[in-house]
Amino acid sequence: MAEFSKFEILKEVEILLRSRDVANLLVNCIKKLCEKISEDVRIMSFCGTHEWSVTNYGLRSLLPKKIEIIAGPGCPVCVTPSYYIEELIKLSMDGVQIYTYGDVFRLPAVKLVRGAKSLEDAKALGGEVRVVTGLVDAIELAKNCKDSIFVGIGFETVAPGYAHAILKDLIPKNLKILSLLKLTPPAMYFTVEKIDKDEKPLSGIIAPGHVSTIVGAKAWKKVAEDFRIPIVVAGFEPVDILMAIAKILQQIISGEAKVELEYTRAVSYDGDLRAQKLLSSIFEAKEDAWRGIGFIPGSGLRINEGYRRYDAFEYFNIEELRKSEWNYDLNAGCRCSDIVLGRAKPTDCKLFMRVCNPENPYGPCMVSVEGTCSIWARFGAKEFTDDILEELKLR
Amino acid sequence: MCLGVPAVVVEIDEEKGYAEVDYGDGVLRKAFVGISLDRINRGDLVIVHANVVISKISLEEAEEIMKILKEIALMSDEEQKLSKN
Repeated sequence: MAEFSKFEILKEVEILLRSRDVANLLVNCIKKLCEKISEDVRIMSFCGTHEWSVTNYGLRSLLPKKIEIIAGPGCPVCVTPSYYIEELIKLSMDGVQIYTYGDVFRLPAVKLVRGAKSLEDAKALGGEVRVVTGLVDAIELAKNCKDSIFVGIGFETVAPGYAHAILKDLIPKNLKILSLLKLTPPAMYFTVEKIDKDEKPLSGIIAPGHVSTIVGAKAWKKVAEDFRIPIVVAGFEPVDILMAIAKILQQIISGEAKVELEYTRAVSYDGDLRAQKLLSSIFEAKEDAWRGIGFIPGSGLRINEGYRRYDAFEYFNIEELRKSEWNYDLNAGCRCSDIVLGRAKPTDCKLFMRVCNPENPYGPCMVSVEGTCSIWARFGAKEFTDDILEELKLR
Repeated sequence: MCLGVPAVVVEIDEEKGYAEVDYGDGVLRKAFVGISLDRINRGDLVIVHANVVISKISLEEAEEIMKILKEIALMSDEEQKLSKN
């Protein structure tokens, strides 16, 4: 079919975006730019998929030592409060059918609820839990079924899908959505502010490419202006990320702090206006809890009053987590909140790969494919290429 | 949660806002169109994230970046030749 020639073009682009030659040339260019900068360069890659690319392709080992790439809070599963998982475990054991993404299924809670610490445990103990790839699957499975909940975790990327299904009334009456959606621009603002206050300030940010397809590059303007920080919206291939780093360095050299777009094949400055309108008409932004971190103003989306009939909070009388009742919700010794906020690396955590590993995750960052600990556990060896070579006296 | 997969739009249900997409394996899968429907046509290359179409890939931009990268790759070849000499 003619359409598939388009796949061929994309494949050709992908080959170039993963090309060693192109990457080497960009690394040389980055090294030259770095010589013009006296201070250390601390760049936060905000999205979990960026962290995956940086780690999987071993980009840190290619860059000058002066450049530090720090993983940010770009994994919604990692920041979902333990309390909601505990509530879902109870409901699943009371016979409510729970539909959830695969990573949420394994997300460990803090408290043991009726013998279960995760939805996976709950299923083993007879709870009604089923893994789905998204709301589309849940809608198909829930038809003519009993009372069900779809666990709506995610960022602005999935949110328009949920909003669309609600607006078009595509959801069966027995299926309710538990919207635990998070918004990224307030989280970025919060993170940068916190790092600025407590640590060495960031020099640049690689902004999430796919969230930006919806919110547009414009969403990061406030952070760039308020904190005088260069921001580049990047794609997810290694060359995309290297180009973003080069653009950040160029901005640092010229003393600029603006939002630039590298991922032009998928993102525009304004984003998708229909999706933005959908979000504001179906949801309301609320102060929301981030696991191990606390409440961030305007960072969560809940279904608004006009569409309450789809809302699992309303139908199943699930209490919202209140600020006054919020307790630090990470297991003892777990440093996931520091890792999410870029204040620690997975290897700084004493539990990493000892008590906590992908087989038996102890903290939330070890569960999802986008969790920093899980990424470092699975692909992190490339990060230590330099250390290993030095140890073997090969460098 | 930025994991997006490219797919070709094979069919669109404009009324419900569903698209049937093919990730290249020949299997048709349903996805919501989260973005403006008028941006999407049959045969378009899109990015799908957790059953939601979140963007259309601009082939013009993809070709543009391909042109730039090919030039860079060519520069790399020449650099290597120079260093060998």
